[in-house]
Amino acid sequence: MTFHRGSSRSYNKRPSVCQFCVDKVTNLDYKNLDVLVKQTDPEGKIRPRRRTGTCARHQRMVAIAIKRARHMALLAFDRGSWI
Amino acid sequence: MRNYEIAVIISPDLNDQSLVDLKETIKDWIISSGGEVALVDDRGQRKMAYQIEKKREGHYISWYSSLLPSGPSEVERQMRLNENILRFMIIKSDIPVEPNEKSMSVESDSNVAETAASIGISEEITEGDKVTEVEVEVEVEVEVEVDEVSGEEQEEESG
Repeated sequence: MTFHRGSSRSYNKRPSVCQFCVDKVTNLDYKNLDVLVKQTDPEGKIRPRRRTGTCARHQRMVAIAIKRARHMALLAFDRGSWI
Repeated sequence: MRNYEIAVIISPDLNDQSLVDLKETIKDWIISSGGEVALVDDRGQRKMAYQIEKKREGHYISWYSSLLPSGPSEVERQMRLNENILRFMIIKSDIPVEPNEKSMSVESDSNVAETAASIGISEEITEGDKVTEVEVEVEVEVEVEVDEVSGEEQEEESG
């Protein structure tokens, strides 16, 4: 059972294991959009570690790949203003 | 010599012949700077996530090549002068073995099954904790009921 003390703001519990560690990912390419889109929210922002459960090492790889994909116009910097 | 990926977005307004010429020109820049092209990955024309120079589509091509330490700056200087190159990026990158499976490299060893087994065990443990918590709550509720019953009895006695 979950109790919310004070505010009624709900949150999803952080996954206990980094999914990239489970898959043994050693190199994340900026062209791998299937993975990178899951690491962004509907606005196009990078999802934080406290949401995705990604470890620090893999979060760095995700952040670099997303920024490269944005530079090459594969991902939007701000998706809200275009669609 | 270091391995690089030279990724380029070319303007969609070029006709076929000038596109082939531009690809040859870029290859010449790489070779003239003392580099070697290992693999060319032409991903064709696709829609861009945002407009670049008022254009909505772009032709995506990557050259996987090995360059001298002075190579990237020379190639970059040439690319900045060409108007048909909408955007480019030169990054350190290994040459992919399989072009279609290059996007994410995964370590292949036999430990995957072991890690999966360990994760399964940890999930069982958490489930067990939940079960014990539920049991504790039930016990507490029973105690409360007993207290209420005894209270009613006391009231009856007093009345």
